[in-house]
Amino acid sequence: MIPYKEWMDFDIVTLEGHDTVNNAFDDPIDWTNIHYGYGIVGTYTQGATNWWRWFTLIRPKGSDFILDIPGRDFPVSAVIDYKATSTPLYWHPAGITQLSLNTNTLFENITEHIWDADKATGRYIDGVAEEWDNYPIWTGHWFCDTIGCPGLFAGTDIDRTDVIGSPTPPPHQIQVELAARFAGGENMWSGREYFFRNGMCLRVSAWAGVVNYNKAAFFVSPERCKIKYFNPVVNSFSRYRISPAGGDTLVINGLGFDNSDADINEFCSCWTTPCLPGSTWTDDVDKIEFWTTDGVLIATITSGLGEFTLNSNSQITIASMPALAEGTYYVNLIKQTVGTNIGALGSATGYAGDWRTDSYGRMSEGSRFELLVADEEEEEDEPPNPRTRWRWGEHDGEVFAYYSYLDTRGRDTFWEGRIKNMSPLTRMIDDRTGLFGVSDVSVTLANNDMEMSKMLSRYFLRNKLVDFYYGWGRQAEAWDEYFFQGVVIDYDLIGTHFDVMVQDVTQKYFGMDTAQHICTLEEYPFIHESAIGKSMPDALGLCELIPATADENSGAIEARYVDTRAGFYSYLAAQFSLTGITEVYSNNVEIFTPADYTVAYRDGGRTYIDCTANQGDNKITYNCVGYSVGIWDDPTNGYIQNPAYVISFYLTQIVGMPLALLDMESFDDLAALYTTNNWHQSAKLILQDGRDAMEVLRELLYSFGANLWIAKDGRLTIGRKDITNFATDLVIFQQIHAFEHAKREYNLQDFVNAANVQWDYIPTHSTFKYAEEISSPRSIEDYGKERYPSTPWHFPWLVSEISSGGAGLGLVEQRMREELLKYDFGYKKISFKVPIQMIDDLDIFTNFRYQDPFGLSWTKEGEKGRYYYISSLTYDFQDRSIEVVGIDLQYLIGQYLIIGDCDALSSDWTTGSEHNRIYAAVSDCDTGRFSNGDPGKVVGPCDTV
Amino acid sequence: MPVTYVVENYIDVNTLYSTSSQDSPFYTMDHLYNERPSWPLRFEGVGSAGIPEWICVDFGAQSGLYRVTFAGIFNHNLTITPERFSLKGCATDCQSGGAGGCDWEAGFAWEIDMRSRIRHGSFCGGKYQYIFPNSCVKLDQTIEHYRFEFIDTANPDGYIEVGEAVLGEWCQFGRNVHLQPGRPDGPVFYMGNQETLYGQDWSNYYSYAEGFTLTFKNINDIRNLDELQMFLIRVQRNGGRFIIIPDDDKFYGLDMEAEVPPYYPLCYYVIIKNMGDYAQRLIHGWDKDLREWTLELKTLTTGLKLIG
Repeated sequence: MIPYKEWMDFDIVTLEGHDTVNNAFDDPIDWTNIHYGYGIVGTYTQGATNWWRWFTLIRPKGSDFILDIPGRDFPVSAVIDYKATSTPLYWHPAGITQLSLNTNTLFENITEHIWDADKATGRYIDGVAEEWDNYPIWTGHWFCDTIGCPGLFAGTDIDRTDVIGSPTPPPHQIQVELAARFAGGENMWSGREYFFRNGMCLRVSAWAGVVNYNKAAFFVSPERCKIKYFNPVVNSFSRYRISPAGGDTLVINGLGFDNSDADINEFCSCWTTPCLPGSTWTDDVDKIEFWTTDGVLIATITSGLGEFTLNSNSQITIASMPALAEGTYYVNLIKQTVGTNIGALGSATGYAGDWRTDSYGRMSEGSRFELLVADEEEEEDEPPNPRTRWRWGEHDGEVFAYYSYLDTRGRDTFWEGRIKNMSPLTRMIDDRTGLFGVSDVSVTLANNDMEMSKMLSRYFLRNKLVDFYYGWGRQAEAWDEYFFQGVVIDYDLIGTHFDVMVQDVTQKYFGMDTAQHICTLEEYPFIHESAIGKSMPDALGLCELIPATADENSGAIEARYVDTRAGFYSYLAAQFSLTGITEVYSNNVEIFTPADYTVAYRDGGRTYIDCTANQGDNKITYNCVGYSVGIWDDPTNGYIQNPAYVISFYLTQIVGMPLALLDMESFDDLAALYTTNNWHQSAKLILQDGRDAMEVLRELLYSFGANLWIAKDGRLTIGRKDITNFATDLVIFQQIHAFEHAKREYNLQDFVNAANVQWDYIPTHSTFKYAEEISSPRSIEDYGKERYPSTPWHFPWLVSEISSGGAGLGLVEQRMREELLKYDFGYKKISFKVPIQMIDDLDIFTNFRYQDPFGLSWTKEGEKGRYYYISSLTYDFQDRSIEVVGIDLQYLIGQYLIIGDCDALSSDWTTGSEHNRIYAAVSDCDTGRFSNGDPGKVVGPCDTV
Repeated sequence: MPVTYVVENYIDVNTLYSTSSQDSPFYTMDHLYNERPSWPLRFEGVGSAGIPEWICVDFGAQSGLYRVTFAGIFNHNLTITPERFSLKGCATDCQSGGAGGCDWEAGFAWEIDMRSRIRHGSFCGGKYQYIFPNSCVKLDQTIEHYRFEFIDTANPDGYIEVGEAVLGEWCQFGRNVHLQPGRPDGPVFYMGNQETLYGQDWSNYYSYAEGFTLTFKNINDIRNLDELQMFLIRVQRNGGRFIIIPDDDKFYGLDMEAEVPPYYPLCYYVIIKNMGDYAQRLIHGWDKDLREWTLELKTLTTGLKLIG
């Protein structure tokens, strides 16, 4: 595994050529000055003096797609995924029998020229006046002929029959690679500057059978660019404080400390010249440097002298740290000469912490680790000190300001002790719905010196981000940890006070309707009046409604009639490209392709149903398999079905939340959990009309039994409690930590022991496809009555299967059961208050055990560690406390007999640890007690054993 | 016990000439007189032999009007044994060398070594000698240029910090105004302490700050009362901030043995806390007999300092 970075948003433009002279496209006037913000590649020959050509430039979007980023400047190879879609309409008539799709890195001859994503056209690089330096652009601008291998899809032919053979041809999923080939030809290393400057070009070439009036074109949409790096990445140190005297052992974990040659050469085999014939890369970390934070190199150790050991690609051990003067240090890992044996490329380096990788090797930005060299006792009595960073905005920029309760001097920052009051902050999950919640925060800043009056005269704060973090005294400021990120919504200046209201930053995205795009007369001049102002539908997963009896409600989604002209009769099915449309109905009567309709992808990837005859005022509905995003697709079916990815698609593509706000690793982990349980094809989502974005999110989470919360780092993190996720080493002691007795809530007014459940919702017809009634006989017997929830339980976005088809339960049945288990004997919670010093240990969803002398015990011995997980945390720095609300995990653990590992557990109850005792143990049959006299469990009727 | 205090600081934007270096943008030399010891000047280095870090004050031709009888450095980070911590005077210039310059290494007029004002409470010996962050000295000069100099090569921070520099005139409450013996000077150290139901203590050390209650009693001279009144007015004009040496009767301790440092009383940069009623007094009779007068004081915070 090699560290890699990936981009999923792209700048994209289509350059259009129209040559009426000689089909050479060699004059600037052969190119149109029309900007297309989406991707088309293709060719059109319209007679002897009329030729058209389209090709597409793509470039990962964002300021981080540059070569020279410290710790990420030494690329190994690149992979680009994109989709290409064509239809018979765009490939006709039959003259062109084959097309070749190629991808190239784009080499712009004029130094430092970068195409303008918002304006570039075939004529001008900036869309205004600056011409491309050569026409046709495809000569003199390709750095390499073709990225990819002859054996792969790109660079080879697509047959017309691939497109024509199916009435609704699915998109072609294409992957191209830029290999780490070293010698000969173009490769990642030699093309890196061009690649990071101007991205890639997608085009068609080598078409066979062209005659006049032949057109062949593809809509292309890039999905992912993945680039691997030689730079070593450090995820953690085994310790962050070492003694000035040296001698401590420091274990460094991360990735890319010594990549395998096979991984580096992954894409090389398809080339006629292998990457490294008979040689090795030698890209091991062989030097480690220690730098002061103000940039002075203090010490160097090397593996050559045995001063550290390279254990693996992911671990380095420094058995004995060198002596260092008190202070803080940056640690720089160096591969002194990558590729020594095959011609040195240079040094690949990386400061520890600048980048981190997840379990897949995906890199994300981190803050540089600081190794604190100091004696241990200096940490005593350190206060956790909340600090804040504010962005004061002006019309053309921002200035930062730093405020705290107390003047705080850091190396790079000074926090003014200006905070007079700060309200407690609550971060929580509403366990009933899985939805996150964050309280508003009000902050009062001192204005006695008129500093705030001065700032307000020039700057503003509304809608500006405020970062809240905390650190400990006598530590480096880089060790500060986030506990909240907010956005300013209002403020009042009251003489010596400046009161600011801050709200959770996600509200910036959720205060919206899901219908961000509606059908308008401006965009569709021939739109049917019934469709004007209606939202463009969205669909994920398997969306179908096929009635048992003909003419009943049919089709899961209603298409919008956007072009009523004869010969068009066009209906907008979805605002993005659906993977496929399976059935179409006109007023509940099925119609067929190609006789009645064809499916087309136009206008940057929207999906249309083009009918052959006028359907009048009929309601056109259809069934489909929804959107596809490559890496999030179901591996079997090729479109998004996993509940975790339906939510991630919803958040990123429909709500428009930036990826940086999501902890994507947690989404991947949850997706894997659903896959393990065979629930990975259970999700769907239909957005037919505009709805409150937060309400839809709540439905998704509740349907799938997932919890979404804002972690301390400010990112939305997702998870689900199941039996693989309850163990913990964290024990909170009533007798040490809690300021008062814990409150155990039973919430019996909420208890429910029977419910009607409905799932698989079809919004077009306002109907659920399935329903079931469930109950808990034991609870009904104990409490003597059936109690139903006030409204039926709805899982609208689960598809229909009750069982998963395997040995386990289907997600629908699992959700029904666990909801009932949660509520059939009350809704049990615990709440208590602990010192602020525990802030590092506690986060939402963290499991813990609670020791309580007043806990439930037949022998009155209390509880030594009942299992809970945290659903709410309230930080109060002024009260120096954290209020914790935990959800009792009994509902989960009670479903299992936990056997444990026979070798790891004590065989005797007396010697077993408290942790051991959660696993299955059988007491003496006669006495009903364990070996030390504790009351125990007896298996079955004893006298028959 | 006499009480010594200093209200006005002669160092300001006009008289502060320059410093040898400053760590911009956060820790610049204007913080030397911002009445906020927690926001210091931070030099770029620690000085070296013959090349100290320095702060120079230039009173120019008006120096005769500035009689300096008190000098103080508040919230410094000096170690217990700096190579140099001095206040020097020179008539010619703040600049070293050159035509009209002052030879601050050899040609200055006088020098007061302030190193003995760093160490306090060192009776346990060994490692835990306590460094008090404020150092004050009495003098009596009217020279044009004053220069604080620092060399502290062993400073673990790698730089020297000075929270506040003060040159001024000390005053004492005259005549019969005394703090009563056994004065209720209750240092209140600001610490967050929480105690759990079962008696577990969770305490936090916050920034160094201390509270005092100074009580004056039985002042029965109208002149003494007016003196207090003037003191209050001066302090109020200064934002309630002033410097106080509560136990100023051992200011010039004798350095009888080299190993035992002379004892100098602690000096504090304080703010009056009972702003609303600090002037409330009980005055009796025709001669305005002041029976009791209480001043609530709090030392200005030293702030937090992070490593690195």
